[in-house]
Amino acid sequence: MSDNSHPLFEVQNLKVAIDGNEILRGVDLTINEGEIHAIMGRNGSGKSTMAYVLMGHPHYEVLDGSVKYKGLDMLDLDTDERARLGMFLAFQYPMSIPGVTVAKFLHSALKAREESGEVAVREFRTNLNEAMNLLGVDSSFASRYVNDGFSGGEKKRLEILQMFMLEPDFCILDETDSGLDIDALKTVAEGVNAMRSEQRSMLLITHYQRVLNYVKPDVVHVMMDGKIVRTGGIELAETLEENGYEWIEQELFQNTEATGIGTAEA
Amino acid sequence: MSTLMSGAEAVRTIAQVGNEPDWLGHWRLQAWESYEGAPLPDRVAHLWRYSEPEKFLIDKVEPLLPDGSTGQAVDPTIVRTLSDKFASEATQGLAGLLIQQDMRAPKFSLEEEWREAGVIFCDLSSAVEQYPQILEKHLGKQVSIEESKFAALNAALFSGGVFLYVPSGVEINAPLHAVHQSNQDLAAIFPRTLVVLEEGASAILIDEYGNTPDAGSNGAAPRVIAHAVTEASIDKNSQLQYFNVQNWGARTRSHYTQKIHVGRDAQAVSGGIVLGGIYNKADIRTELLGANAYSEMIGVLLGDSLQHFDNHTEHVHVHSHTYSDLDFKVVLEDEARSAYTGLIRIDLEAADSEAYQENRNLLLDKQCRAESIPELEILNEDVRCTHGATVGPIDEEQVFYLMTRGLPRRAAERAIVEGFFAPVLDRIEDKAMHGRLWNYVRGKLETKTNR
Repeated sequence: MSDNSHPLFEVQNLKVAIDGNEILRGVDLTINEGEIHAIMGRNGSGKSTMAYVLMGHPHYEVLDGSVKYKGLDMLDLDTDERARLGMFLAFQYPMSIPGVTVAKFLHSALKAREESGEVAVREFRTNLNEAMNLLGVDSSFASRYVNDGFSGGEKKRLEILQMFMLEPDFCILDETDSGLDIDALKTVAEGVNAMRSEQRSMLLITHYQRVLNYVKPDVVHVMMDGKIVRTGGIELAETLEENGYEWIEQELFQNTEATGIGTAEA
Repeated sequence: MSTLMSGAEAVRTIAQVGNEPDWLGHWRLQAWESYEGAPLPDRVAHLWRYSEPEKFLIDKVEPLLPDGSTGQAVDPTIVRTLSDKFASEATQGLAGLLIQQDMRAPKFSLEEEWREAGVIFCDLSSAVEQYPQILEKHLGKQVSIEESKFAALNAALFSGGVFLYVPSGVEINAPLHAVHQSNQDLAAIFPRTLVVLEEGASAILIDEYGNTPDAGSNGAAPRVIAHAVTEASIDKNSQLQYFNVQNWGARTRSHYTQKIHVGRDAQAVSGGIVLGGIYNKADIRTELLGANAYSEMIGVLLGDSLQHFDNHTEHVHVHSHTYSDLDFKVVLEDEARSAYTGLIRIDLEAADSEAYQENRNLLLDKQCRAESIPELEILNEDVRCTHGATVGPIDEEQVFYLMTRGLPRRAAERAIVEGFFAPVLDRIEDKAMHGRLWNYVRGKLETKTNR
């Protein structure tokens, strides 16, 4: 991270509960403009909670901490307001919206961003076709109902297609690699790489190192039990691939014993 | 009933003013006696479990009577100026248009081509004068005086109305549109529509009920009690698409009876776009009377505030080798109520028939309520029959998903509602008709998104 970098996204001491159970137990995270961060961790470590809570899912209760994006406090804003400010979440399990076509859905989402509430149909069509071409998506996609009867791979492609069309400044990708065969993974990764720019930051949430062969992160974090317990470069992901998560657990355990402190810092 | 005039007098006045033939005057009087003589429906009776019959009595309002104005065939361009609604492209692509206010002074037009082919599209009162034989043969045959107390009331007091007659082999390739408006406060109104398709004929008709939103006192919606009837007989090999748009104002109570008889190899698509009124009950029935008779019944209902809806449908398979399919979708908001009961009856003789029924209800608020009750009377075992009913709240995960794309909550809900209705309306193949019906639904959704 260079000195002239600007934090685009800052999470401080974020504590979050669902149904009274504390899932995130003090997360700190700073992402600068243009950076790609990966959060790795096992199932149940709190990664997906992180994704949802950053977008303002109503079921999660924020107990403490702050989330700042472009210097604005996000926790006071509704999900749609965060989205219109340029945040985006690619879902692990995208919802189907029967009866609403992909084209209509994207058109409405773009219109919601305009003060005039208008987006020229011709221009929209051109952009959509271009994006579908880039992602190797059949043109019939546009007239299908959103995620309705889509295969796992199609759903993930639609998430990336939406990211292309909405051009967010901060993208959270929640397990976008899960359930994809190698070809689909490559296509999706190419899409993500094509979106990479100096202004745009991304947070990849994954529990496999596999996707990081295709999308190279600047920073890798390991999440365990609702906290970020290690932060490093791509080599951290490679170590995890080789040794699994257990060695971190062991280290944490030793640290705890040695210092007598209940929490472990990375 | 009005203090000035007894019901029987009102009936005589209508018959006289309309210069009606004896058989009709006689029929009206009989209907009035039947109405007066019949007790209020028993709430225990299954059709009245969900609504109070007292709400539809007309003793505190003035039944509207004809003023002697008869139907007037006019140039379509004149009709267009009658109402803002028709000032735009709305009239384009129509084969015919009929507009009447308070059952009076109907204005109608029919494209030259179809007039020459023998098609009749005008108000019932004009039709009675000009085509008494056809009327005598068909009026009141599907919805008779015996049908119910309130159907009898309509028979006694209807005027104006809509008559569509398509002679044998004539296929009208564009929709016809009829509008019944009621703008008088504290009035009772009795719209009636009669459709006759002869062998091999085809037609598409939109039949719309509504009133000017501020026609009542102090700019409020008029207080109206509407007793409406539609009857249609479609002969061998004919095809009817009939769409009833219930867009009554916010203070109208409406009781509606619809019956369609479908002959051999004939196809009926009937649809209800149910949006208006405050207290509404509808009984809708299609009978499949010949081999290969086909009926598709669709409905979309969008209710809010304190609106009450009670819809009962019946698909009656009288003949073997008949097919019926029903798809009725309900969306409720605020404290609206909907009760839906749907009967499939397959007679003993109706072997080899298929009947499908689906009713889905989407609730946008905690205070709204919907009931859905399928009723099956299957007397023949050699049939295929399925039914499905669901009542549930809007899926919060869907709302969240749409909001993460920047749609505000109400826009997200609206997208989900439109998506919920889409499979029903998408069954309509005619593009122009599809667009027209969507416009009514969107019109109501629009007012909600913006509030």
